[in-house]
Amino acid sequence: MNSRYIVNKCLLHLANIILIIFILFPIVAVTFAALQSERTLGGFDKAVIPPEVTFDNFRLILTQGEVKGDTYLLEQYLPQTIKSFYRGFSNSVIISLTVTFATICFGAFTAYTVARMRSRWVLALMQLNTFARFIPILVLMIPLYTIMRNYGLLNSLTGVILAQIGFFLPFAIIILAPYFEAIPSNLEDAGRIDGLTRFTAFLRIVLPLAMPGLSACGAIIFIVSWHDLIIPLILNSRVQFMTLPVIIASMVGDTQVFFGLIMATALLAMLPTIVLVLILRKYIVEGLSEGALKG
Amino acid sequence: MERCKAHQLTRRTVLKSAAAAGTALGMGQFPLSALAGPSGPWSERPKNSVEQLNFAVWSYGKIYDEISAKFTADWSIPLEPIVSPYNQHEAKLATVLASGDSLDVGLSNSPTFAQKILQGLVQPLDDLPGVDSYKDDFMQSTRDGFTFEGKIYGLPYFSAVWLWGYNEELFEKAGFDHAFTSYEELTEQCIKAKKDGVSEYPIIWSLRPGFNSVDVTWFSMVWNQGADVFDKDGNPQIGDGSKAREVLRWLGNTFTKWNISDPESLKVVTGSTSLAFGGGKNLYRGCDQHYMFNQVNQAGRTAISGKMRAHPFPGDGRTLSMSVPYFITTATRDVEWAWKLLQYFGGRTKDGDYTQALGLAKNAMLGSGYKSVMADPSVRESWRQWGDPDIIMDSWDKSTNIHKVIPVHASWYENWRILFNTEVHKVLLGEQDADHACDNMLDALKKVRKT
Repeated sequence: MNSRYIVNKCLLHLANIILIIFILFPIVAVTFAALQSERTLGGFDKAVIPPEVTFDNFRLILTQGEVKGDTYLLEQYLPQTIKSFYRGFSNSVIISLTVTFATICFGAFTAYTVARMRSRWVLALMQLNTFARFIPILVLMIPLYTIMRNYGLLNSLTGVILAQIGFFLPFAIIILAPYFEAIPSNLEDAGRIDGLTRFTAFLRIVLPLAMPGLSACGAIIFIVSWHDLIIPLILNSRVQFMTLPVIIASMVGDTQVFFGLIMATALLAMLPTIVLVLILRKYIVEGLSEGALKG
Repeated sequence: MERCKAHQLTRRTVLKSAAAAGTALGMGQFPLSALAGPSGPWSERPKNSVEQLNFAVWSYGKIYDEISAKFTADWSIPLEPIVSPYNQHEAKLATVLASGDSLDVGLSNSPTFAQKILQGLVQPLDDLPGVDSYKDDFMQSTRDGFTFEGKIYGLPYFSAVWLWGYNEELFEKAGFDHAFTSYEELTEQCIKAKKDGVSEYPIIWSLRPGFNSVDVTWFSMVWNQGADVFDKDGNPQIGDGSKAREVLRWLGNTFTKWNISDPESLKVVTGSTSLAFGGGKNLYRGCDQHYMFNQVNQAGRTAISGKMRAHPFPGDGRTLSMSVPYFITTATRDVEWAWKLLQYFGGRTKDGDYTQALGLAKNAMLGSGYKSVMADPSVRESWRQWGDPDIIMDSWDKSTNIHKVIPVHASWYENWRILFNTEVHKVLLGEQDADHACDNMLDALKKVRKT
């Protein structure tokens, strides 16, 4: 019995390790590629450890093209977007944080309303909302572009923020509504007996209890917003409003593809999401596991 | 009449040109283009005034920063660039045009250009001042690519010709004294190189589904052997016993029977194929666009820099080529100013030089589409560092524009191309034979033509 337990435990650990390797493999591959020149990358296809380590890709990006290193010394046509790396990074941070904060705020209010006022119309609207999510975002780009142009919001961060909130809010509501539903309404009732209004009961009792759900949802919204390529691409044309995904996409040209630069930028672009997930890890795990039961 | 007046030479212009020519002659540097000089229509200011112009292109180095700055300095008209990543450019262009925004100059992929013309998005250039001088200077392939129903619709961003390449180092290691002169010889050489352990997969191709990969590879090899995949009327020539089937069968065999084609070929297109070929493991580079020699041979860029040699198609060497067009959209705010801007991108700047075309040809090995630029000694000299300009230029002379061979102008082509890519890939993966694939392609063609 005891040996069987140990074998089971070992198998579970082994499965865990395999899963972790599977998840981390792309990141390892990206890291290896980011640390090599294009020249080595082309010839390196079988060795496990890269035969060369160079920081030229990072150097070029972080100095915005000023320091080329040996790898890019003779390159005539490097992607110009590397000159806007810091701008792109800060644009992505501003957009993602604002979108996450606003979406969670509006999403929490709406999801709470949906959870507590389960009228026929609200449920019908929720279903319509779910159905609307099946429409590919690309189909909506022309109307979105036209609307933003009419309001003078092309080539601005505000336009991207508003558009992303519009697209992500329904997801937030779908994620949060079951979460609020699972919080017993007796707790709010008790608070209201003690003098709280419905709004203050929501703020002081429901929201703190919903923190894991809000964190998990916030992390998801942040990551989706951070990685969004289509909306910033369609709404903004000027370099000063580009986000990181647009900058990375610009490194794939018609006659040149800069794999090393793409990998290095992608690695740098991963940092904020990794930091966010590490900070909110406790809440995210709670939120996702509880959400799995409550959904 | 006013337009004619605008193009008359003034005394001052003549004197300035003469002085400039004299100085250049004195310095022993007299480019041919200077003969056209500042006196051409490209140096005349359009009569209307515009507050600004805009253009939609995909990004490439800093060429648009430079040429925009030159345009604004020359004409005091600010430009609003819409610069997108290459793969997202068509979506952005479509959005801008569909939204009803003004757009003066656009850039199109070669295969989708015909569709844009058919959709009424592109302005013909025939009546614009100075267009005849461009038409006269176009290479035949470029002229064919930009002419629809007798009208010219674009000026070239760049042009490319398809030909083969080989790794000189492995070639010598294999003990070959000449590159293949027929597909049979190519097969024999590759089988020998594989058997001798010179290369595990002697050929690498650009065969990832997409523009200018699977289709041009197949079409160009069929075309090279004197046949067609589609005839001039768009009728398929892929029935039993056709050359197209034979070529596809051979291509499939290189992957499945002889194992001489690198399986990576199915995942890569020109740029990434260059990176893979540059690793030095393949003997031959399957037919691809000529600027692959710049990608592989640029000093320090790959493990075999300087060791990739050009090789023409076998037989009479006929091949395919293409030109990527800039065009004036029908949503332009002023045709004459848009024409002025178009010339800066794809033609002559105010000083009469092919500024951008010459720069791209010399620095990036991108063919220009103009005879005078390609004949410029500085271009040929520059190309020597990457490849064999004589072989490349000779292939160009024997090339036909893909628009003449691939029915990209047909409304059904794009839908068929997607299905056709799948069928070809199944052959290359050994999941079906060439006959089955061609039968499926014929069925698919009937379906897409109906829709």
